[in-house]
Amino acid sequence: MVINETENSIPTHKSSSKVLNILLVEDNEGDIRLTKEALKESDFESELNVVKDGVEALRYLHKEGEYYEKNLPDLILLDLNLPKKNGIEVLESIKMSTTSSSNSDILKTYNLYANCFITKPVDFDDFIYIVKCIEEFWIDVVKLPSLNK
Amino acid sequence: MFYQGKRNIILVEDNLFDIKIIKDALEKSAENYNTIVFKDGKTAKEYFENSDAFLAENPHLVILDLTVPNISGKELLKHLKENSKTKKIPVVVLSLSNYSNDICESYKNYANCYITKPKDIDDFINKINIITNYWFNIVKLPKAIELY
Repeated sequence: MVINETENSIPTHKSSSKVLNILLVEDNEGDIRLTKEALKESDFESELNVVKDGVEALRYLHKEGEYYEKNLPDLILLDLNLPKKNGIEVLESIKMSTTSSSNSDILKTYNLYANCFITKPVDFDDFIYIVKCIEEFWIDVVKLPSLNK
Repeated sequence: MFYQGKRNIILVEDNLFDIKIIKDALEKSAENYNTIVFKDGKTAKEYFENSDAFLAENPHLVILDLTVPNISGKELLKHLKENSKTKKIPVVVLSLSNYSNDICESYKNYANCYITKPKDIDDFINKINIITNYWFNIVKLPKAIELY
């Protein structure tokens, strides 16, 4: 999943008993705080790990150094504008695909097999709402793959 | 941001009952959905390979059952995600199977998400509404740049 900046809004939320391991790759402190608050307000259990640049994201996912004992995430929330390595480069690396010929970020990310592309709302309530919609969809509706397969 | 134009959905499904539920749910929605149905994988594959019909209808989302005849949903998914013209189109796998191998294989073949079909009709309709709401109102689809 790729989250990028701008606006948006939408639906409802349900409860779930699963503990979801989420990796947030985000350098903006305000957005990190908002995501944490939105997850805290939700009625499902999650473990949120945050890394602040693309290089750290890849080290985390490759379980390098201090990340050796970390479990792989069920879900990655990936910002595109990251220091060191941007979101597109991270996506290229984790999905191991070829580069896109398109200039559009949206097209590029889908061509790199991002599961979906979502714009970050500027408004606080919309931001909370979008995070809840992401939760509802990916936790209550979607079947995620088991990581040991 | 909401889509202003027609929202074209390709449904690859051979079960007539499921087709009816999905089409009814989309038609009852306030949004402008246009559902193009293929009852087997082969005809669906031909559609995606026929650039005229494919480009004219500008599909935004594929809802794919795994057990369609001729070419299976699994093979069609692989084909769509290996083809540069179609790999960007989000594919929602909608299957009766809760089998972890089917789920894992679908994600390995780059399904955008995997959703199981509920047995209860109301739950089924509700799930269809959640799927379309998520993909058309929350997510930015790749075709968005052509619509705005």
